[in-house]
Amino acid sequence: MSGMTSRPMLHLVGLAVLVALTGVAAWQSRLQMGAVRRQQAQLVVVVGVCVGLLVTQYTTTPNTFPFTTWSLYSAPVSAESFYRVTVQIDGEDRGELPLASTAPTKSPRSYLWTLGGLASRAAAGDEHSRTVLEQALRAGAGSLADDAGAVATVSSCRVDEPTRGQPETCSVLVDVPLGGGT
Amino acid sequence: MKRLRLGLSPDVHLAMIRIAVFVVWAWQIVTYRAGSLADLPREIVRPPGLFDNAALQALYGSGVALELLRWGTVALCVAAAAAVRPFAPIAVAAVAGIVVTYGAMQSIGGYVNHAQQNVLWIAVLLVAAPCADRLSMSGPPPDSARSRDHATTVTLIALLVAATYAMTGLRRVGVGGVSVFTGESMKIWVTARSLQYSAFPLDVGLVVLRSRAIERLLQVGLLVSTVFEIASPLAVCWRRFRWVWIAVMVGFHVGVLFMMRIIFWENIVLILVVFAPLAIPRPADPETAPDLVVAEEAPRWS
Repeated sequence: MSGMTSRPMLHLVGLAVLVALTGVAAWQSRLQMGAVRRQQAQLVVVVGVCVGLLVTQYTTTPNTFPFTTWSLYSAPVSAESFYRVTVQIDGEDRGELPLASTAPTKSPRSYLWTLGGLASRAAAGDEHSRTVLEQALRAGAGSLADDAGAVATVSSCRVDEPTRGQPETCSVLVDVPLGGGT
Repeated sequence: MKRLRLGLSPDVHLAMIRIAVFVVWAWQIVTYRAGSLADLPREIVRPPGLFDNAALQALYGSGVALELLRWGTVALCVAAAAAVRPFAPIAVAAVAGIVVTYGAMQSIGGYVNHAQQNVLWIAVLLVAAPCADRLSMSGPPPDSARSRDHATTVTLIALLVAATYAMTGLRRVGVGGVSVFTGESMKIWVTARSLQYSAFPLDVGLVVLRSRAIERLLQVGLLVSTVFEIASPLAVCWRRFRWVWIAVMVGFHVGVLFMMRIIFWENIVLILVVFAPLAIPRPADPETAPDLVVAEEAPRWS
């Protein structure tokens, strides 16, 4: 990154380009001033969203609802971490907990960060976090929580200098019994 | 009514965008297990920003209320897609339901990404449009909006989609510089996403670990897609560029599905519905031109 002065300048240039292109697009559509007046509400929305897009790039808030969050796939990385929740029933591996179909979320990878944070604190001895994690996993396990022998394992994984033989390194944080429901 | 044909007239094109956007939201909400949000421990339910208030916390804590919100919003989205009249209040209610339901989706660790943001704001734009209710189940509109109003709305929607892509590309270059394309970031991202949980259990991305050439190919792909992201506004106003842009961006999204197990299907729908009709030249149709002249003589709000 070339410093905080270059980023605003770059994006101001970007905004100027967008404004210019708006003019070109308007000309291309053969707009006349009468039509523009009839579109004032929409123009406010478009300009507002563009300003919102610019401003939210400089916040550190993890959720910039209702604007895009920008933290991914921009800054160079040398390693990535993530959490994984797997399920065993009576000792038999059933793969990862299918959060996309069982939990009330459209962003299961993001939700895994919430669960992983709880698991990390539970692994460090925080009993309250463990209780909350158990409740969350049971609520988000769907029918798996009905099986008395179901156990969820939360692991912390890291991709750092990956190879074909060892693309990741993972360590178990905590095991949580799902069975029996809440 | 004019015949539907290649080179859509702006009013039909705008109606198609309306149908696509509200059907996308209806599907998003139908497939969202809203009621089970109430079963989660309250301390991990953190609605975003202004949504973190007592009223919405109470709403998000009631399974019955969430299910009512869910199915009520789905019904409103379907009605808005069909342009049931009165369109404006129904569309406003649909967007309000979308925003509140989307707030629930964001409450346990989610965030707005580039796919969801576009369909969210285009729904708002459609509500603000002076004319987005053609191809209505309730029959033809009571009066005709001017053709240029439809065309302007379509242009603004295209500009919004293009702006989001352009900002993404500019940010990547501004924050990451050259090193994001030449270093090992792409390998790390693709490997991590291929190993991380996804509803699409593809492991094609691990091919990046097989050879340096494949890693280089993906780096080139990131560079090309970034260039086209930054150039997205050109697709709004340069017809010949649109087909290339559509091919690259749809290819980029499909590639990301296979390499990173992420699918921005909402954006693929938007690219095809918003930009593909714009890329097809409208023939100088003697049937169409008189229609437009007649429509312009009877502006809707006059």
